[in-house]
Amino acid sequence: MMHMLQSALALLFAAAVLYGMQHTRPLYSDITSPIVSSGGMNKRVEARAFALSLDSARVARVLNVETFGKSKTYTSSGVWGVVEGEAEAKFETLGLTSGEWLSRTGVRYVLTDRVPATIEMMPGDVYQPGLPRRVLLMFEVPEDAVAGGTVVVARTKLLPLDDEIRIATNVSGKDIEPAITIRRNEERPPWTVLPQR
Amino acid sequence: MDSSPAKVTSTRRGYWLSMMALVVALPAALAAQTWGSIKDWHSQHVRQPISVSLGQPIDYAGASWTVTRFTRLAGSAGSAVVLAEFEALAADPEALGSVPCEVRLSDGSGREWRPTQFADPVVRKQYPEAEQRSLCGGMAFAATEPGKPARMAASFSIPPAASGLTLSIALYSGLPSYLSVSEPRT
Repeated sequence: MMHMLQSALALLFAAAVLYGMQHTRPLYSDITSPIVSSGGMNKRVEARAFALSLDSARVARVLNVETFGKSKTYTSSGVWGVVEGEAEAKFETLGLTSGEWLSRTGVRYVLTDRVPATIEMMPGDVYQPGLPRRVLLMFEVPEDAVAGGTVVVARTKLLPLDDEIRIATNVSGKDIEPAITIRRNEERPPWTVLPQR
Repeated sequence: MDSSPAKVTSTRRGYWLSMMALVVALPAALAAQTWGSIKDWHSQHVRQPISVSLGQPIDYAGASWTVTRFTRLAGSAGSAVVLAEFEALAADPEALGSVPCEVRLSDGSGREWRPTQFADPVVRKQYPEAEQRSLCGGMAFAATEPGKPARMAASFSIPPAASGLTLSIALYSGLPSYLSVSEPRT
């Protein structure tokens, strides 16, 4: 009798453990999510394959782009975020094709595709080990996504368990400039953000 | 329920035999399941270098290869530029042209550079003929007449302090072997 009771209890215990495991199982997307390295502005944040530092994050209502002597104005129902910094590959030549603005509420905005390719944005460049390179990221986001926003950079969005760097910007949402101009340069750095601060 | 000593012994033996079989069967099943991945990983990561000197021809992947130049130049924007020129004399250039080719430069600390898409202005200025050459692969072999070598070049942008440089040329049909050339001492 005692033996049967023991067996029944063991069976119940096993069932409870299995039930618990089934309901606390992480999603596949959680298991394969990127390995995040975080930091703040003006700090070099190191991931395994690359390092990134951001030194400027500005927000404006209007974006002007000047290339080859021509100027074009980009308006938006939201605002423009212009972020600059420096990226460096650590062990092998790589590209940084994924850049996102992560709002405080968790909404992700990818890099804008409205700005012409004559302005070198981060995904268009190649990063060589030991040769830090200036990076430019531009986002078009709603005004309420600005305050407390985080810039998220990865080699690609598609690679599971790869590096991801998250840098919290110090943009408050109150200091929105009326307009920012990005001017293409023929020499390095390949662009200038105006008005200069 | 029969609980004679003989029956109990036989049950126990069966239990332990099953447990031991599990110890063998489980790793065997895992190995069988992942064999393809292990082979893929091996072919991608395990490589055997064939050391070559500058100017020395060597047979590799169905062609005779010669690295003709491996030189370091002062590049723009504080970087150094490494220019490598090499040629391959193939019996069947067309067949070789369909094989992917990988050229890399590595240093003593394990960093690895891929060739730059556009050569640095210094290459254009000092070695204009090298700039006309294709990167290793289909294009270079397609433009070659049989009996003449395919001439190729690769330039790299590296930090000036990088030392112990090694150039590697790998054709997928020649893997796991690849050609490895050390930077000549000046």
